[in-house]
Amino acid sequence: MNATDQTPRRTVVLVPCSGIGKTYGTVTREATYIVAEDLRPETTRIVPLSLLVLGDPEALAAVRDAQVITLDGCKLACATVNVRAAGGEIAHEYAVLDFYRTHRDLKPQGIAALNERGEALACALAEEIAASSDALVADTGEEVDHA
Amino acid sequence: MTAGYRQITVGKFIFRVASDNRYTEDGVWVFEGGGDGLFRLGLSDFRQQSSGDVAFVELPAVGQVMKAGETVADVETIKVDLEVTLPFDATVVAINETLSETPELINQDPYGAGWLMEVRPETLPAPGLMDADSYLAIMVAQAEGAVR
Repeated sequence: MNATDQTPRRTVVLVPCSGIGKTYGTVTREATYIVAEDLRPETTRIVPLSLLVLGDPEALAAVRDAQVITLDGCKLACATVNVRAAGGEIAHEYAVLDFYRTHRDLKPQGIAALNERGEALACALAEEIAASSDALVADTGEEVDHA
Repeated sequence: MTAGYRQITVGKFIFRVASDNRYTEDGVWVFEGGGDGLFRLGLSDFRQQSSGDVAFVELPAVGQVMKAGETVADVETIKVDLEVTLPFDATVVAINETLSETPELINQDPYGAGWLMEVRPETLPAPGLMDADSYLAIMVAQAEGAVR
């Protein structure tokens, strides 16, 4: 089975920031895990940014063959930049800083583990990403039962 | 607004210091350009780069009288919460209201569109400020310590 077979068009690929040691990078990864593991496991999959940077063939194929949502922790936007460099089509770009500006009561802190507000911010971001991925899947005309 | 910049590289970072401004040791720039006794101030390039992307800025009310050492602005970044202080007594005469919607201007244009406020010092010359060359020497030491 090749990467294209593993990533059908109705699957949305999530590529979060790889900023280890940075709070906002941790928010992107926590939000991604919530979406891919809890909210939308049937229709989303994670492609680690590190694999894209290393040129992993399966990761490259995955972002080229699916609709991609990127999540960036800072203005360098490494996730977005590297998906584009890989030839991927980005359906939505999320920047944690922009999202936080609309949720000021949820100030994230912590690195290895987020504080309570940071976890809440990640959950809120995950909900928005899940809704975005639903819209993308709906555009493919396929029905998915999230129950 | 400024005649030019000193520019220096420390590690992989490039920092600019506006030549015509005066500075506090902790990276607040002050520009006295109009000859009307008003000082415009903001954060130096080093201060904004070392603090990270700005999320929110809290500025004082116009007309507020500030004492030396008091916090005149709160700048929340993705790394730190900065308390901006002045070394002299002053009255706030204007604030950069665009920062409430676009605080990232502090990162994008720290010596221009990212200015914080204008103040009228109680006494002139305003104390506690150094010229660009003096600040550059201090800033380089701070930067080298930060990247080490």
